Amino acid sequence: MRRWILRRLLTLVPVLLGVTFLSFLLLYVVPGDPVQAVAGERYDEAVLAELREELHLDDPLLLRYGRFLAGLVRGDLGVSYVSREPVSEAIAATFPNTLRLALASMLVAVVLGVGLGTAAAARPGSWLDRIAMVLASAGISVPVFWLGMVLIFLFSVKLHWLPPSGYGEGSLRHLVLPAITLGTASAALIARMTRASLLEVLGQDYIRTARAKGLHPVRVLIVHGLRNALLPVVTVVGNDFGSYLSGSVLTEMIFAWPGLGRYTLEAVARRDLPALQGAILVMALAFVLVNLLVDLSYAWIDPRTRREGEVS
Amino acid sequence: MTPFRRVLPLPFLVVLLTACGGGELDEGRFRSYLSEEPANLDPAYAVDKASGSLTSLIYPGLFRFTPEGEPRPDLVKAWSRDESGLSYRFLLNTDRRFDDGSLITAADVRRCFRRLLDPDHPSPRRWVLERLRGAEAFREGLSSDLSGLEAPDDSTLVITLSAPFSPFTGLLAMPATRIYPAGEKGAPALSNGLPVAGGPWRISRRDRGDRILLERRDEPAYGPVGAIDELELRIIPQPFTAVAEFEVGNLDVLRVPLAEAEYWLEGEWADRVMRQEELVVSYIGLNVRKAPFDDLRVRQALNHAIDVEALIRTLRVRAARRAHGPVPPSLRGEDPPDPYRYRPERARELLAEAGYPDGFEMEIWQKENPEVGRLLEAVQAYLAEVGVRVRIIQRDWGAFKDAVNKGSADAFFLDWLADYPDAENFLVPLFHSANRGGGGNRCGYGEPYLDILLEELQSTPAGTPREALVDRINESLYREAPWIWLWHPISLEVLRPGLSGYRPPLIFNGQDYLELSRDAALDTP
Repeated sequence: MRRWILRRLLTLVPVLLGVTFLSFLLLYVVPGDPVQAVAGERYDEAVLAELREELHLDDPLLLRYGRFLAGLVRGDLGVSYVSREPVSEAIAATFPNTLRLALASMLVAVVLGVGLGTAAAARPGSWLDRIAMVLASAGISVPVFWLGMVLIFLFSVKLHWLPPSGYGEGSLRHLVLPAITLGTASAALIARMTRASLLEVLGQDYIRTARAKGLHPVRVLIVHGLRNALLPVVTVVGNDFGSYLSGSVLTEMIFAWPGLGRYTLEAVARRDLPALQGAILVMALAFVLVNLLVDLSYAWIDPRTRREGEVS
Repeated sequence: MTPFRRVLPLPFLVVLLTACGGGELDEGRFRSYLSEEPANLDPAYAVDKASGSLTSLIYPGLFRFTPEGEPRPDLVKAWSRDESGLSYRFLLNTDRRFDDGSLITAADVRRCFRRLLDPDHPSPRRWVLERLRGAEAFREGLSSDLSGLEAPDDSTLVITLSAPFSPFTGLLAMPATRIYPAGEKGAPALSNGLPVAGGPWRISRRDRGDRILLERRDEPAYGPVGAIDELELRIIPQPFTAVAEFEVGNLDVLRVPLAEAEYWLEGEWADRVMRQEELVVSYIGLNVRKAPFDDLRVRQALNHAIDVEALIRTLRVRAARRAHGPVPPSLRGEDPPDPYRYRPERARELLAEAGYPDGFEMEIWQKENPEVGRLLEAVQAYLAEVGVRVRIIQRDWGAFKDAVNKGSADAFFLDWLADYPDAENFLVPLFHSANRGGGGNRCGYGEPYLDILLEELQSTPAGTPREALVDRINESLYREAPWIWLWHPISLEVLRPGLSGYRPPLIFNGQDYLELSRDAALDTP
């Protein structure tokens, strides 16, 4: 198993190299001159040329990429063109906020999704099943920005229960609405996956055997059924969690959440290439690490996959 | 109860428990917001609105803008200008200090101004001091001597210009000319990552992307510290979110988004809405270097084809004043005669005279912005009525600016915000032939006679002849129509009851929050 993990970790290197090179290439060809964002609304061409030289923007692509990689080896993500601050500092300030929001959203998604899906599968065709699946369909269809606005209007403006936006020095109250907004779509998908997967598992022979042995129906449902139905759900959780870690731009914008998504969006608007490159790298790293964790969790949930992994 | 039913309500309980209890109101704190994170607090590189506003709050300067846009002496105790209009002598207050306790001297001013022109630090704001004698040779590295900037002693600064420039004190109130103690490589000094400054406010805490807390400095030059001694600037990118924060009582002031203007202007808050005609002009620039926009008749036809008054009534909810030329009414005299009225027949006649009886196709570029999108769709419909088929091109700010500065767009929508409150700032950068492209003149307009008039304007001291010159240039440009003249926006701001002394600024860095006070107990929603 250790060797397998080590091998997976080693495969990260070419993946991340590929991501950094592709993003470097894309940012190179995309229209828009980075120094114009630095220069503001009024400047003369001489300053533009000097800024270009100072920021090495006239250098060939490969030389710039090589310089980026050399910095990366030293743990240096470069300095933002616009703020002139180290990119690593900005990412260190914003990524934990994104991670916090992603974890809370995933908690909402898993609790609601697995709960609804299990309840629906426990009584297929019942009113509970129908309501759960209608909610799931609504959750998938509702746009994030609309849901965020509605939640702010309802729980902040009308009921005064929760603050509308901001980080609030890390208070849980500020986390509730963005987490529900971000987690709802995942919750809906997880609910549908859980229901479908659980219904399939509940039709298996060993479930019938467990029932015949007189086990409590809830024990059969949760211990024997749900655990075996979780594999496809874990895949969804992993994918969604990875994308949350990439920054959930819309949620962060609506709730003025100081996360990596907003930082990345500002970097795009300002053509701040080092900031963007650093953010993309962190997002890619987070995504592949989450995928690794998902693969590991398969082995924990289903021992058969562990054996297959060991054999290969 | 089954185990499942027992655990199901737990998450909701957690949410409710954590939701209980609200934040305490601090009566000494004024709560406002910025729509974006200030990108750079180094005055030499602060080019965005948020950075400019914040640097003006924390760093002192020779002058600073009042909310009415007047340059008021800050570090300066007295000043004079010689008869030639070239030499300025500033006597500085000798008791002003930076946060680190060091005295602010004329040498500090000299150091900061030299850095702005230093060829080793390519500051995009270099143009602010390019009129100093010797600045050109200094910035090109040909001379280490900057003869136009002298500090004979700690309290005296002598600035000599290469040519008279009448709004010069306005330049000395801009964010770029703030004064700061030297840190690493000459950049502003930092302490625990926060700027060491000496202006009216000091940053006490900065949570990136979330909020900035400032405390009032106890500096007699800025008046007595009143009931408001702390300022909270939240970073709120979405106008809807700011509205919600104001409605729940978390903000003391709200800049009303246009989409909500009717609600605020006609509802319970109507009496508290403050209107301020900003020093801003909104326009559709026409690329006069390209056909058919090189033809005066075509440009005039486009101005006749659009009902700007109707757009102001509907899309702007009357929160704008129609532009008659680039210069805002508060900086000039009478409106030019024979304004462009909405006359589609006249527009068709002019197009036919110019050789376009069936109209033509054109592109109008815009940066991503839903309000601008709605405006351009209306413009598109108006122009279609006279046969001009418009394609709207929407790009992000970087790509938009690149195309417009290079002159590859047919036409484009833009706003111009004043750097300093003088008509010159709406004329020379935008229409002098030397400023084509990134200098500000993005429509590429340029006429030798106009260049002469603009240069004359720069050197003419304030007074009646200068006002007449401004009106003459404004009228000439209005007639020549290198832009489709739209409007000067009017900002709408709402102040929470119980507060006074807040005046919406005329210029973006004119808000100093120095005269705020609380009249009564805070209202709580």
